[in-house]
Amino acid sequence: MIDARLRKNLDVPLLLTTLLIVAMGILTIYSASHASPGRFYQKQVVWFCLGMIGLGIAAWLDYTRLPRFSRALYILNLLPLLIVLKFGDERKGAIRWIEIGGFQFQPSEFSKIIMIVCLAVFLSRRQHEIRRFSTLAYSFLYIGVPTILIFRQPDLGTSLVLVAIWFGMTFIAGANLKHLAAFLLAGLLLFSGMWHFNILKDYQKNRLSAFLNPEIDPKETGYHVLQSRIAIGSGRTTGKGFGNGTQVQGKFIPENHTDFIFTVVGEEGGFVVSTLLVLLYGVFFVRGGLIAAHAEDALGQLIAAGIVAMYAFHTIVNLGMTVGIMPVTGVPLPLFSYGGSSMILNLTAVGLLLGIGMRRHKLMF
Amino acid sequence: MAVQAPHPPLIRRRIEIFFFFVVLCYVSLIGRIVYLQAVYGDHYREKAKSLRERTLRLPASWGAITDREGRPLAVTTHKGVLVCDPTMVEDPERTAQAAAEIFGGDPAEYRDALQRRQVTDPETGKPQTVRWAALKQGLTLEQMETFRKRRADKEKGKALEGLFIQDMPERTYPMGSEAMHVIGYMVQGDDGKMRGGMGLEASLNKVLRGRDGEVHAEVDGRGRIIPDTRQPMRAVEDGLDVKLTLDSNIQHIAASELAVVCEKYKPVGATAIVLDVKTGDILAMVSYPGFDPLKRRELKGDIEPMLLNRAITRYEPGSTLKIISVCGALEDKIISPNTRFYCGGKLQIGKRHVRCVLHGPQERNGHGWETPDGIIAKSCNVGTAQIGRMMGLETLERHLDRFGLLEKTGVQLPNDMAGTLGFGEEKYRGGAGKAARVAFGQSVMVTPLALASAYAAIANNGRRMLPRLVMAYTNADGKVVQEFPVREAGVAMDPQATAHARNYLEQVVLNGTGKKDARIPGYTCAGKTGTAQKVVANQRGYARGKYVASFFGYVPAKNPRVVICVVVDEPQGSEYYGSQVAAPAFREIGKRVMWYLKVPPDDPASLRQQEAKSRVP
Repeated sequence: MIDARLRKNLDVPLLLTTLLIVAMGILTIYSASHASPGRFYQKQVVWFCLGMIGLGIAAWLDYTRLPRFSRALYILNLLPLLIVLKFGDERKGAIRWIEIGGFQFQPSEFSKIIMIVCLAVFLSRRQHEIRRFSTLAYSFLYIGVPTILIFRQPDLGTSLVLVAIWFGMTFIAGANLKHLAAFLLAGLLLFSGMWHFNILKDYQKNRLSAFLNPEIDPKETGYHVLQSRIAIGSGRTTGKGFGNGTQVQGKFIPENHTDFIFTVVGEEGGFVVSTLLVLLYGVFFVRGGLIAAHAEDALGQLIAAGIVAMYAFHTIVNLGMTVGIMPVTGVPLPLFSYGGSSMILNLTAVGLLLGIGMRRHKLMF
Repeated sequence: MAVQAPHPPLIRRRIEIFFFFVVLCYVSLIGRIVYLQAVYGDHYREKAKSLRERTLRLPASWGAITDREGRPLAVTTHKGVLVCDPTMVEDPERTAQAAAEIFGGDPAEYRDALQRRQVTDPETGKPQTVRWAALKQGLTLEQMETFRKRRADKEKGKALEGLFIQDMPERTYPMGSEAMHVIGYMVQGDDGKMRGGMGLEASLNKVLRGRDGEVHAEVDGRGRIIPDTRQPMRAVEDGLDVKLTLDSNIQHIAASELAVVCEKYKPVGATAIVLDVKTGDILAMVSYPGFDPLKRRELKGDIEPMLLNRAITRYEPGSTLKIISVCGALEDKIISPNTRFYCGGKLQIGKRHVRCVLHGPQERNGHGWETPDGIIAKSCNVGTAQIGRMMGLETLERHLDRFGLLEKTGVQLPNDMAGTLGFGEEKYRGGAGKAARVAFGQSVMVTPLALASAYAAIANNGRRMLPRLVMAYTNADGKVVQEFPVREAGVAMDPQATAHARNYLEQVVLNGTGKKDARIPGYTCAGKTGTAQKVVANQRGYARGKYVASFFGYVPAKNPRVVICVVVDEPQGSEYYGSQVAAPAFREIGKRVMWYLKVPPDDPASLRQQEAKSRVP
């Protein structure tokens, strides 16, 4: 099915790291939720299997053929986002899901990978003029449309991920640093404006103020922040043992199988296991970074860099919020948190990464 | 194969910078993990433990107070109370609506408590999370049933989350205001705990309350107890039942008769006591004014006078004390039963005069020549003052002491007062003049209970029994834990002098000041009237028109069973003599108590006389 030359270039460490992280994730989900009726760990195994199919297809696909479909992909991306805004299910004050044939999926998750590909195509076509401000501004508009749709759901986390991806990719593509700095400044101004004029939802604001001072209201907004700190800290060096975390098992931490899953690792596995997990992600970035650096063409480099940027943003923001050095935004830990859409998307992204890696140096043969 | 553009080296350089940035983030993440788990791990483990651990109180049940026959005077029943944990309530508005639907009332009544998730600790000033608040008391069975059904319902139950029904103890007092000064009541302290507010509920609070047990347990994130983690730390010690010497029926008789007097004379206060002569048992102790302990929240204005138990509050007794000084002088042979004294209506002692209350034209110039029996029968102040002057203050004090009048009675009530000579420190000032006054009950303060106990000693041939209010403490199984036996304090007066005293007191009722209103038909009885002038604060001397009317006596006179005393403070209207105000109450209480105790009449002649009288149109 896959060419022998390609197989030879398969990045085995990256694939193994990915599988290890997923395995740890499923075990952790089991520990966090085996007592609750959701059977999340079983479902996660199903998502993993579906994700592996996505990974295989993405690796097998020749990414150099993608530019042809970029316009179609871009429009295909916008459609479900529009639909979800109109007909989506409301959960916890946000509309993010669409139901198709009994399966619910979150279009904003898929939006991330589609936009990475589209933006990579966009930037690789305009490489010679990337240093012009107009190109940068155009690329921002290009990604801005889906970002605003996602922000309107509202899903602050994912829209920030898209902005981060844009930043990472334009930076790597060679954009003028002064222009990027100007965008950063404008972004900060925009954010404070949104804060001031109440465009942000109250719970989003509360999360941020709770991050800055969780003791203000330890029972309400600061609850997550304080409780996860206590749970992780109380794990000490070696942890309390698998399934023995008093805080996570005692439901002191809500969402402990999704966004706050790292608290389970921290409490039950202690310093040893939590550092191991962080290092595994580190290995993942090293391999991903190498693939990006050694990719055959600018398109491959940009797609790979976009995927690595997405992963980096997700892990840093998620782990950062769990250990209390970043504000709470609803960003899951990739490959690890429970969630179907996210698992399938993330494995597909790994597949793309592997595919780019496999196809390097092909002119040498 | 498309021809690829050569790698722009810039992209690779940018990838390296980007990668460096990611590594930086990772280093700080690991640094944070080290900080949380390795550096502050112990601190957070402690914190986690304190978040999970709770000390639960296992409330001890309160003991009951019963009368001598085991009839309840204070009992604890349990009533359903609606309580809430505000932190568990998602939408106070919705929950208030749902609660009002079941338990009635305005949703606003519930909303406030449901919304109050935090209060400021009055001591530390720090905010404190509220996890418990009572919403409604006195739930009906029907309401509780509806609540349980809706709570179990999947949809309706959601609105009721955070609400619970708890069984809360409630103290009830079957005798209400009639025994409230003795029994007292429980009040809820600022911390929500119940404490004794007054009376025995206050003084025997520790005995009645017992000691709460303690259990350590762990809770989950929602504050629910994890069942396997319960660890008993201290066993519950239930409160003991307290059995009193009171007899509910006699208490009721005394209370209702005192109420009649108070209705008629509108005094500022009054008290009635019934004592068992042989044992010193307090069969009844009533004070007026009072209130039903369960309705104390509805009271308005100054309730301080209502809290006063006048049976154990000092007052100047007046003439009722004469029997002790006169017979004390007899005992010491200072006078003999035949010693004659002259009463000219008044007698100058020091700068002031002692005056007699004189009745009728034949007493216009005083009581004339009289012997001790006449002095008592007519309640002659001048005669008694002369005897007091002969005795001297120290001799008088010795006699008062032997009757226990200058010490606390020892009943387990709060604020049990000792008697005093004079009004405080100036005990011996005034010398012989003071002794003259003390002899007829001025410049000396005693409590009605102590004086009633002294009369019981006279009725008991001089042997004084200590007044007893509490018989025993028993536990829930009915086993006696501690008993308070009848105790004799010693001989208060020798038998010969006592015989004279009993004779004199009988004469008071037969021929003296008690002749008209103190006689109990069918029974011989004995006693002494008292009409004491009152000292008003911040004013020299005695106030005009302010009296304490009293009667102390026992029945039957020949073989005494009970001492009954009635003291009425400041009766309003034209009648204020002890013989007019207090003696009838003595008679009525005596009549009913004799009937209740099934004491056979020992003076049928007086009964026939009475009947004959009533037959005459």
